[in-house]
Amino acid sequence: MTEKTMFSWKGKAAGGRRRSRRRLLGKELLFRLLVVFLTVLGLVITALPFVWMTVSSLGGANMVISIGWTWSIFNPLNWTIEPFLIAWKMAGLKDYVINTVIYAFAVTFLATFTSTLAGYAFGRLRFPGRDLLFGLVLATMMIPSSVTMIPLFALLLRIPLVGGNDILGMGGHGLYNSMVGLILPQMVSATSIFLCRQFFQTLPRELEDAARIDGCNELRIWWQVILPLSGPVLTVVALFQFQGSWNSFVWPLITSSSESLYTIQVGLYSLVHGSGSMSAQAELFQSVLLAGSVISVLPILVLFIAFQRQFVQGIALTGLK
Amino acid sequence: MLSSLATRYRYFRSQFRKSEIRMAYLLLLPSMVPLFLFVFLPVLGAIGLSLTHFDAFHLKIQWIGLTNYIDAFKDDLFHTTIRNTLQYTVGFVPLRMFFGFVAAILLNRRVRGISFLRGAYYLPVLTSTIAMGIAWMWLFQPQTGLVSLVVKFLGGRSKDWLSNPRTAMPAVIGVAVWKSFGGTMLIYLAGLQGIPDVFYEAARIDGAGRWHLLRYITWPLLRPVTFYLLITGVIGSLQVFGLIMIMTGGGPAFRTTSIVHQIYLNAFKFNRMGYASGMAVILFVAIAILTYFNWRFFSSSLEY
Repeated sequence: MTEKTMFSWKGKAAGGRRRSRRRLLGKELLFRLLVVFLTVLGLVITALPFVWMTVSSLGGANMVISIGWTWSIFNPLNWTIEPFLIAWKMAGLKDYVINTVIYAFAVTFLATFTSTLAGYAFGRLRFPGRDLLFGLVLATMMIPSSVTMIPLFALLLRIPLVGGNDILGMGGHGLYNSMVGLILPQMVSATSIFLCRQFFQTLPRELEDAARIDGCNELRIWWQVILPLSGPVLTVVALFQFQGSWNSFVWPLITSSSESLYTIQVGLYSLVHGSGSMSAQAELFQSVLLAGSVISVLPILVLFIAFQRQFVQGIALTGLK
Repeated sequence: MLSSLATRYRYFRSQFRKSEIRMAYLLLLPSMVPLFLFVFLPVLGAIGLSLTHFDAFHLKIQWIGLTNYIDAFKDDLFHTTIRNTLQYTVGFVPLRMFFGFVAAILLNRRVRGISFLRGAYYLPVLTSTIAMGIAWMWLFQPQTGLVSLVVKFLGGRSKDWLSNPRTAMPAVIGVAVWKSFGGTMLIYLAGLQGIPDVFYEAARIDGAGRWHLLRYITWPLLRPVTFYLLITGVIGSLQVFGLIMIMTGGGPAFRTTSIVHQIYLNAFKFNRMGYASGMAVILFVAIAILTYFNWRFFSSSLEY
């Protein structure tokens, strides 16, 4: 269409036609090459750490440390999955992964559940105090986690009548260092509530009105009309919650004091900065560490490849706040 | 005895309103109660704790008023911490926006396989900070790491990147930017795709070249996006923690410790929870101010 406009004018456009043909061979080509080069460069920079990490975890790291760097670390014949086996069994990654799976699934389920309910209430129902309450929910999004984590820790530690505490919260360790204490404070997410509300506001009102005319009470409307349509938003919310909990580091770090409760991120951190029984075998250790990192990244990678569109959609939705 | 149609209609409507309100509160209960317990109460608790000396394990608590804040303002380590965090912010935020912007422009075309490329650029954002921190520590190995190899290949001298006080912070910033520019790219892409083609066509007819298009159409129209990314970027970078924990542990010689890192250490290693809460409240105030500016900017009506 633009071309037609250019060709139908006289003078300047005609000169532009001549100019653009020459440009195609000179500057235009250079420009296209630059674009391709930069794009490939970006791809290399983005992907290289992953590739390097994986190759090194397959035994390459040992070789580099003991022999020095050679091209042979890329030779599949030199690869071994021994670091992965050591990481899984001896370094405790199996338990860490199990803990993380429990934690991530529980938090994902709870957060998605509570957000969907709240999102529907805020987005669709009318009740006194709705806007004020939603404003408060939005306000919580600006509270940094470092502010709440200390009192939360104290709250869990001194919660009455649980975990060895008496009625005043003294004596035991409450919900500290327990899976319940790990999961509970994470069960609500303001961002998810926001996303759900946005979604529910886009549903046509006629759906609910039709159901009401048919005599449904609110609960049935929710269960049989709204919920089946919530697939898209539930997927996005669940994906982000899962990815967030899988990668979660600070809260599990604070709440767990015994290795049996470590999630995968805390476990990896403890391998790097923690006590020494593993670091004795320094040569093999680097590969083991990297194998642990690969194990930590793999599920997210798989999830992303499977649900790429939903992830990207979710970003756009959160950004358009 | 026979209520009129209007009365029965009004009764039905009011019953329905009541059930709608009941339903709303019911639906809100599972989320608002935990939010209150685990967010609102702790914020009040943190403010309260910051005015005390608190040792959670031995449960010794002692009111000391504003002493924590006064100590913080006089503390050299706190000054260093703030300086480090600001340096990190000044390095991290513009760089991640710049690379995100460039990437968005590069990838804003309807070519086959473009969503693969966009996904590839975005992948680092989704990975865990700890895992990629470990990977980058390996890449930063003084003699054998990929970074050192590349630098030597390009003719430079390899350093102990994470242990050298002059390169530690840039190294951390570099990893943070790498891990985060995919996110800014996606947001810039959404913004770019919101610019009507008409603007570009009109400018091209007037003879504008690519650089002019970029500078006089694209960039000004993306200013709201840039502002949003700036504020949210600063808010995020003020809270940097995981990357520092795993890559440098705050070192070398406190060169990379950040505010949240100090909060963590004081609360859980040095048992000074009151002091840590004080620093957290200071951080909270800073973030609240930034959030206020963000809200103000987007509340005022913007016309192109």
